[in-house]
Amino acid sequence: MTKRVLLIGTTMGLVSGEKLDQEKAIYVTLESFQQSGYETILLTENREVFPDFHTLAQHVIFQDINLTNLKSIIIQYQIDFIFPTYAANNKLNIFKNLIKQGFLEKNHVKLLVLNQKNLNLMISHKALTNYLQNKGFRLIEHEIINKFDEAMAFVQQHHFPIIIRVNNKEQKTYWNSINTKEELIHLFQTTKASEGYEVERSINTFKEITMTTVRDRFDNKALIYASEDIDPIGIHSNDSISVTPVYSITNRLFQRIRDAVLKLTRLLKIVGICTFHLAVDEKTDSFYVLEISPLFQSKILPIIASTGYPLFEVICQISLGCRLQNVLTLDGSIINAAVELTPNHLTGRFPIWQSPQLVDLNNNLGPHKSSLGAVIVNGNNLETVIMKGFKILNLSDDIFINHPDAKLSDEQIESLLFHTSIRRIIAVCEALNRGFDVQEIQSFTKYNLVFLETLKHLLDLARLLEYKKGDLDTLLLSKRYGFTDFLIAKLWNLTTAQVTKITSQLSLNRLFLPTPSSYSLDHGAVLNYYSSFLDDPFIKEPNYQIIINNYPNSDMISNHEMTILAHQLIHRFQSDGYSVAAQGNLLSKIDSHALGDFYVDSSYNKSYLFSPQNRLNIAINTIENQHINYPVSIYNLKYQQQLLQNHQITTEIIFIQDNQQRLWLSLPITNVLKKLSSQHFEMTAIPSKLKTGLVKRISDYVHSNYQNTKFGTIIISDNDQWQWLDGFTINVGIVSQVNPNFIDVLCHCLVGIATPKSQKSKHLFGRKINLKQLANGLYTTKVKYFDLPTTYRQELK
Amino acid sequence: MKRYLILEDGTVFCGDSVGSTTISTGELVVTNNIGGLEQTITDQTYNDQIIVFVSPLISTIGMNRDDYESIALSCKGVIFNSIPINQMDESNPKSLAHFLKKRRLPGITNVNIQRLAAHVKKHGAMKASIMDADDEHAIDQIRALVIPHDRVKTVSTKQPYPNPNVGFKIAVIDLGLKFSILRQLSIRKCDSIILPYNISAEDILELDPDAVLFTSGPGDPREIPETIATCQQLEGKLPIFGIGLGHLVVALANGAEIEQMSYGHHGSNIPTLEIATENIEFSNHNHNYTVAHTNVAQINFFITYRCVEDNTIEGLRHRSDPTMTVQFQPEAAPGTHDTLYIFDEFIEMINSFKQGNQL
Repeated sequence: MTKRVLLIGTTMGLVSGEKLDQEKAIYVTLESFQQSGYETILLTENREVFPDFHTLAQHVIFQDINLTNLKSIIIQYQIDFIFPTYAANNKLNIFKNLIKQGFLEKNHVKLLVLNQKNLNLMISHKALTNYLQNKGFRLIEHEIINKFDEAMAFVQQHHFPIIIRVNNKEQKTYWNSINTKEELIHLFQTTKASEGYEVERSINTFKEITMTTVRDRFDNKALIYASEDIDPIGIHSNDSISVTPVYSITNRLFQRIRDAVLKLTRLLKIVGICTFHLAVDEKTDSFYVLEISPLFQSKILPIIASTGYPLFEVICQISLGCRLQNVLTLDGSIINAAVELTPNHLTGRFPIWQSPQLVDLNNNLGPHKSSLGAVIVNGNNLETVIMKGFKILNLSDDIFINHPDAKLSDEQIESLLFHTSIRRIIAVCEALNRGFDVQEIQSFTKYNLVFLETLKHLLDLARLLEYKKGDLDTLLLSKRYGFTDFLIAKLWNLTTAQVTKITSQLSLNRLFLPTPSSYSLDHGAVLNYYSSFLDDPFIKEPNYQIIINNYPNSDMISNHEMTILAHQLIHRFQSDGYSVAAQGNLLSKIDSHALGDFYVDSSYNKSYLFSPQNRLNIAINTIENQHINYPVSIYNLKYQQQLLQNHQITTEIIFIQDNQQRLWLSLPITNVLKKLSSQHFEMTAIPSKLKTGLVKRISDYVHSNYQNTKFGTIIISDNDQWQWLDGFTINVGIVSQVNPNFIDVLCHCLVGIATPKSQKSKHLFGRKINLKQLANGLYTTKVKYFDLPTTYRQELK
Repeated sequence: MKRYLILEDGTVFCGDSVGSTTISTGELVVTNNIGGLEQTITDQTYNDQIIVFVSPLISTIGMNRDDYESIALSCKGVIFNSIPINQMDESNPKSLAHFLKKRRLPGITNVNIQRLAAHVKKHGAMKASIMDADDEHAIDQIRALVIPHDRVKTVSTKQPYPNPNVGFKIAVIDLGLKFSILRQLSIRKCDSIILPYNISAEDILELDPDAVLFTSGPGDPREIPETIATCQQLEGKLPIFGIGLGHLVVALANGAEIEQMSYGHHGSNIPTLEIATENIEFSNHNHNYTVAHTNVAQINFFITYRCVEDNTIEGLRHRSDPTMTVQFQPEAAPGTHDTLYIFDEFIEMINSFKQGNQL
C-alpha cells in the first residue's frame, strides 16, 4: 500500500517573500515525494497556493495548523509520515504534544526530521543552554535573577551592556538590550517578571555566522552552507547583509566551528537539515551556539542561487532514509549530495525594506525581523557584490551621488552610527566620505571590518572618478569593482551612452560567468550566471538558454501573482534542465530570494539579450512603469519590434500587468519563426476580461506592422471568439488574468516548445483544448506545439 | 602592473601583478580551497607548482605565522580570482602582498579563474609561466623547460632532527613534511625523528623506532626508488603509515601500479568514502598520481577509502602486515578535521603490533 505523507505547509501572517520561499520549497518537495512513490497530503493555512499543489498533492487541506486539526487529518487520511520541515517555529509545540500524548505511536505515524530531543531544544532556550553545557560547549554567561540588586551585581561582574528577558507567563516577552543603569532601572520599574529575569552578558560585538548541515540516517553529514553577517550579533540575521562563503575568520577557527555543528547534528539525531546560528568572538577564538533549527529557513536560500544545490530534493530524500550520496533529483538522476561549498564567487544576500528610501527609515533594528525579503547577488569580489546589491535596492544614488547626510554635523553622524537603524548604512558611507577612520566606525557600528574597508574602497573609487573625469585607468578600476555605466555617467555628468562608448575602449570585457561549485562542477548543473568585468581577451558567451527579464526601469513593489508566475516559469524550465537567468529590478524587488534558484542581476547589458545564445526571452512588465502609456500591449509590441530587428532572437514572450492588476501575455513574435514557417505554433489562452477594443488595436497593429511576415496570430477573447489574421501561419495568443490553470498550461506550452521530455507536455501534446474546461480548471486538451528541428534541439542541450 | 600567465599550450591569461615581479615557471594546479591560504602556500607538496586559487577572498585577515606548514616556500607562483583590498597593501606586514613580496613569490590576481579552471580541467595539468609579456618566445621557453625530477630531494630534510616527546618513537621519512603531521603526532605524544627521504632501512632500524611514517610530498613516487626500496625492507618489521606521496611509495613497494591523473585532486574538502563504514568524510587532497585499479586485487592490500566523485583509490591497508596508507592528507591544514582519527588508528596499530610482539 502506498505510504501517505502529511506535509505541513505555510501559516498565515507570513510576509510575501517568506511565503513564496516556503511554497517553492513545498512545491519541489511534493514533486520529490511523488517521484518517490508517496501519496502527499498538504495542510496549509494559506488559500493562495501554487495551482500545481492541487495536482501534485492528493489532497490540499486549507485549515488552521493546530493540534485538533492535525489529529483529525491523521486519522481521516490514515497518515504514515508527517513532514514538518516547512512549518513555522511557533507550531513546534503541536508536534511536541503529539509525541507527548503518544498519539503518533498509537496511530503508527512517524514524524520525519524532528524527535523529542531536538523539539525540546528548539522550544526551550533553557533546555538548549543546559544541553550545550552538558556537551561541553561554551555558554554565554547568564543568570536568572529577581531583584535589581542582583542585576547590578551581574553588571559589576560582566559590565554593560547586558541582555535581559522578562519571564512572564501572561505575556510574550523579548530580549532587551540594556546599556546603562538608567535603562536597567526603567526596565525594573516598568515590568513585572513572575518567573524572574533572565540576564545574559551582551555579545553584541561578536560576529554572527550561519551554518547549515545535512545528515542522513547513516550518519553521513556535510556542511552545505555557511554565511557571515555584516552586522554583529543582536540584529535579526535576516535583517543583515550576509555573504557566503565565510571569509573573515581563520581556517582553523572555521574548522572548529564546523566540527561543532556537525557534532551537534549527530547528537540531536537530525535526519534532514539543520541550521545553526553562531556568535564568533575573534579576540578569544571562541564561539557560541545561539540557535538550532531543524526547520527550513529562507536565510539559507543563497546556497541554491550560488551553487544550484538541490536543497529541497535532498531534504525530502534523506528524511525518507536515502543515503546522502544517492539522492534522486527531480530529473531522475542520482547525485552525490554530500558536498561542501567551494564556490569560485561570492554570494551576497541584501535585505529589502519597506521603502528604498533608507534615509527615511529610522526604524530600530534588533532581534525582531524587519525586512520584507532579500536580494541575492553573485560577484567575483566583495566590491562587485556590494555594488550589485546597492544597485538593485536603489541605494547607489544616495550613497554615491546625493549624500543625504551631508548636512549633518559630525556629532549627528556619530549618533547615527551608534543607532542600529535601517538607515545606518547611509551614515556609515557619509562617515567614510568625511574621513572617519575605518576602525573608529567599526568601534561604533560593530560592522564587519572587511566590509567597511571594502565600502571605503568603493567610496574612494567614486571620489577618484569624480576627480579624474574621463580617466581610463580609474574607469577600468571602477568597472572591475562593479560600477555601472549609469552611475559613472552621473558622477561624470555625462550620458550613459557616452560612458558606454568610453568603456568600450577599455581592455575589460563583460563576462558572464557560470556559478559552478563543488556540486555543479561535478555534475555540470550550472544553473546561474553572473556578470563580471575582467581583463580577458577571450570572451566566452554564456550559454543562457532562457532569460526571464522585466522591462528596464519598471517598478512593481508587490505583486504576488506576478512573482508566482515568474517563479513557476523558472522552476518549470529548470526542472527540464534549462539554464535560466532573471534580469531586472522588478523581480528582485518583489521577492528575489523567493526566486532563489536563479540569478538576479540587473546590471547586464540589454544588448546581451539579443545575442544568439538566448534561446527564449521572457519579459515581465507592468503598467506601473512611468514610461509606458496605456495600452501597454501596443507599447510592448513596439518593444518586440525592436527585438525583431536583431535576427538572432528565437522567441519573445511578454507578460504585462495593467493597472487593474490583470496580467496580459502576448507571444510570440519571432523572426526564427519566420524562418521556420512550416512549423506551427499555437498558444492556448484563458479568455477573460479581454476588451474587444484592445484586441482590435493589437490585431490591427500586428497586421499593419507584420503583414509581410509569415506567421499568424490567434486572439482569443472573452466569448471564445478567435480571429485569424490573414497572411500569418503561426499563431500568437493573448492571455489575460492569471488563474490556476493558466500558469500550468502556459508552462507546458513553453516547456513544450523547447523540451519534449516534460511528462506533462507529453500528455498534452496533440490534443485539442476545450477552452471552457480550461477556464473551469479542467484542462484536458491541448494544441499543437511549435517543434524545433532535432539538430536545433541538440544544440540547445 | 599587468602580468601574464602563459600556459604550455599557448593559452594566455592576464591579470594584475601581486607580490614579486620575478618570472616563474611550474606545473599548474587548481585548488578549490576556500580558506587556509598560508597552509596551502607553505605546503611542500606544492613544490614547483603554480597554485590557482579558485575561491575569491581567500585571505582577508592577513598571513598568520602560526598556520605555516613549512619554513621555506617551494611553490612557484600563485594565481588569484581576486584579492581583498586590505591584502593588497605591501606596507602592511601582515598583508598577503607583503608576504609574497618578501618571500619573492610572484602572483597574479583578477584573472578569469573560471576559464582557467575549466581549461585545466579539460586539457589536464600542464606547465605554465608567470611573465611580464605575452610574446611568442615565452611559449617555446615553457615547452623547453623540464620540470625537475628531484622534487622530493629538494624539499626533504638533509639532516635528521628530532621532535621530542614521551610517547612512541616514530621515524618520519620526510618526503615534503607538513608541520601539521608533526603537530598531530605531538598531540598523541609521539617522539618523532625526522629523517631524509634517502635514508636506508638499516639506519632506520638502528634507531629502533616503534613505527615509520612516510609523509606526503611532491611529484612522481617513481622518482624516489631508494625510498621505495627502504619501504620494502621495512614492511612487516615495523608498523608503516603512508600519507599522500608516502601512500604511493608504499603501494609501489608492494607491487601496485600507479597512474597519472588528468588534473589531479587539489582541494580541502573532497568527499571520500570510508568503505568499511560507508561514511563520507571530507579531506584535504593534493595529488596528481593515484594507485591504478588494474592490479590492486592481486597485491596484498584491500582498499579502505575511495573518492566519491571519481572512484579514485584513496586508502589501502595490508591484509596481514601493520601497514596502512591514505592518499589524502588526514592532518587537514587546510581543510576539515574529519580524518584526524586516522592518526589515532595509527597509534592503535602500533599498540596492537607491540602487544602482538610481546605475546
